[in-house]
Amino acid sequence: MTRPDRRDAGQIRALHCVLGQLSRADGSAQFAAGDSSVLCGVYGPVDVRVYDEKLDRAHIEVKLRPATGLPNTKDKWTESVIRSTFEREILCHLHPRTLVQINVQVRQDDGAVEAAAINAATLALVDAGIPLRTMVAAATCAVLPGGAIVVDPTLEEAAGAQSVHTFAFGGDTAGGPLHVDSRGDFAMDEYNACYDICATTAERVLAFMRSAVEGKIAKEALLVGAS
Amino acid sequence: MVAEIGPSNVEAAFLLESLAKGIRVDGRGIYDYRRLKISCGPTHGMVEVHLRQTRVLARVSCEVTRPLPDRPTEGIVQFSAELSSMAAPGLESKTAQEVAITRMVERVIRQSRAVDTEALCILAGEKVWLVRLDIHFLDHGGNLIDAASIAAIAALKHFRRPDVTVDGEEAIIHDVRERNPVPLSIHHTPICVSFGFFGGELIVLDTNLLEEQTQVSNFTVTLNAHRELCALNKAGGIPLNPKQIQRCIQIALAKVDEINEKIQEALKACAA
Amino acid sequence: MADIKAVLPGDVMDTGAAARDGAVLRLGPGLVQADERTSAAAAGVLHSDGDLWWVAGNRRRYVAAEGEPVVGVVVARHGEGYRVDIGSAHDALLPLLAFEGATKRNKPSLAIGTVVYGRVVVANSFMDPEIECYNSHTGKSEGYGELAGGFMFKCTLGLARRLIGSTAPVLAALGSELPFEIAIGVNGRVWVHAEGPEKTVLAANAIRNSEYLDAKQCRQMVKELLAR
Repeated sequence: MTRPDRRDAGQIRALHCVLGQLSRADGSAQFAAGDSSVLCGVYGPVDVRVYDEKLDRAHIEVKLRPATGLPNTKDKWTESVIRSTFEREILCHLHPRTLVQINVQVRQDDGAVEAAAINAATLALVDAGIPLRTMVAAATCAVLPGGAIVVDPTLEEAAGAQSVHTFAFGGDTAGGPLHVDSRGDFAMDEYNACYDICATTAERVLAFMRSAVEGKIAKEALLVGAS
Repeated sequence: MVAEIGPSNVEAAFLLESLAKGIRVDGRGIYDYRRLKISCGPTHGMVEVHLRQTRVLARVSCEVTRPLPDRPTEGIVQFSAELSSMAAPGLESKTAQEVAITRMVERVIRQSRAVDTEALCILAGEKVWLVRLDIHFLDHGGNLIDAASIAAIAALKHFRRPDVTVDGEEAIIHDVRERNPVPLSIHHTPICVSFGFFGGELIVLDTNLLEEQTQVSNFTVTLNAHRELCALNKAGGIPLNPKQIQRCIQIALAKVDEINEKIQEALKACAA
Repeated sequence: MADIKAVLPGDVMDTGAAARDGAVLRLGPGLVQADERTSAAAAGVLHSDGDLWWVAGNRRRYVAAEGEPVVGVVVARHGEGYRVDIGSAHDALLPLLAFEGATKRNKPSLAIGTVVYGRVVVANSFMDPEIECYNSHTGKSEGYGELAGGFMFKCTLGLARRLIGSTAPVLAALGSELPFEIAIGVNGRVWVHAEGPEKTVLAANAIRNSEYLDAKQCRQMVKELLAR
């Protein structure tokens, strides 16, 4: 089985990220896996509308815009996925009566965009200094007709797959997934195989995010040492 | 507070005092653009424009659809340019200024008839191309209009639609992998050049955020590469002297040539 | 002294010997305690000074803390005081009499948009912050109060802290070339006043550009700006 871009079944696309490039946002990150690219801008903790104000915690708001066209139901679903995942991982009780707003812009969609959005959101929240319980990394697997399992599917691969599975893990992948999204027809052993592959992939994504953030920290720490 | 509070007295007063001496707060000349960076790709019709801090992303896409009943031989150009909450904090309410920006960009592309809609016809009365232009404002650092117009026209020029063969009553739309996609037919390249006014003779080109918040009037000239005037836009603000308008148009003519060159360079660079 | 180690949210802190002794640790910003484990909540460098541990990372959005000097902008005036934007989630309250020598009959009247230099007196996550524009213990202004003239700009919180802590070489580099007045808010806002708009713009841009430069590069950068 050859994949359209000649990757191995277990090979993810090249990861790329840039932190803190937006001038207005409190924190931002652009995350790309191959041709799937997502930009996330975070504001927080900032003032919250009276309607959303929570007396003991921060209110989390997620806004996602697709690359082309107006937001549709699928985009609203991804928004709610990001919100519910990060509502648990952001230490909301440290900033009551405030808002943390996560803005996601899909720049290019070539499959596995939900995972890219979750990864971009993690990096943007870290860039903004929003307190987090743990880093969150997501990965996607697709089960192709015939039963072959491929990781980080392109748009084309996902469209023709029997089932697509997205998992998000915290820093401790053994602790279980923070988010699971499985669609299509699949058997439990296919699900389990995807789970294992995604857990391993999430660890690689976490390592990638770690080195990106450490690069930023090192750049800033150099000044403290130099003076 | 989330929403922008506007400039403080100190910032506004300093800006005006400096401008009176021809000094701009970011060290530019009064008729200088900020550093312009245009990146195209990787996919067709995707262009991101940076005017220093201001960032705009334009995406062009297309699909086949039925033409409008009163225009059976013309394709359709659809347009979306909404200020999202990513670009600046507290961008919830649609203020007059935000609406003006999106209308301005729409007018520039659609009403200037930059895109040849007749060339978008596949089968008269039945199938035409619908070209959709989405403009995403990523970072509001002042002067969104100019950045958006550059991104829009560059994206339209960068875009490739699937090739079509028409055989009598049938049309075959070729897969982009079988036959190279073709560019859109673009009549001309309208580009917006905006100026901010601060009362008296104080004018600047390409307002940054502080200048935009302090200005008392604003004026946009839209010109194309053939040195033709496509649009003049001045909505509200203090009245302006026609001589000032003339001077702005002259400056804009020079700037449009520079911008066009940059667009050509960027398109060539990612022609791969 | 400083103990440098980069941490990310979720990293469990190894407090080493201190924990074994059964000593009490004080956790500063960026660290949280859950059950038996202390872990980082922010990304940055892990510092320790005796029994105090904290994570230092650069941010843009200010969260008010007591005792810190801030530069604010008046956005409203109410019966009891002014509402001042200090960049935090909630505007700060500045009582009408929180100025040197202010009495009910004779108190400053600040217009909307006025820039003030104040000190945070109340800051916790459940209340709106409060600032004062004088030292309430001595009754003297000590530099706090209205800032007139000059220019104000924003910078990252990390740069602001370095500027205040005098570990930023750009101020020394500038000071040796031109005289200027400066008020630094840890909320990432800097007010600077030099002789004439040109020198003020130069000072402002020098400080803004200095974020990632060391002492030698700062001196070089200031020289280049002056040469223009």
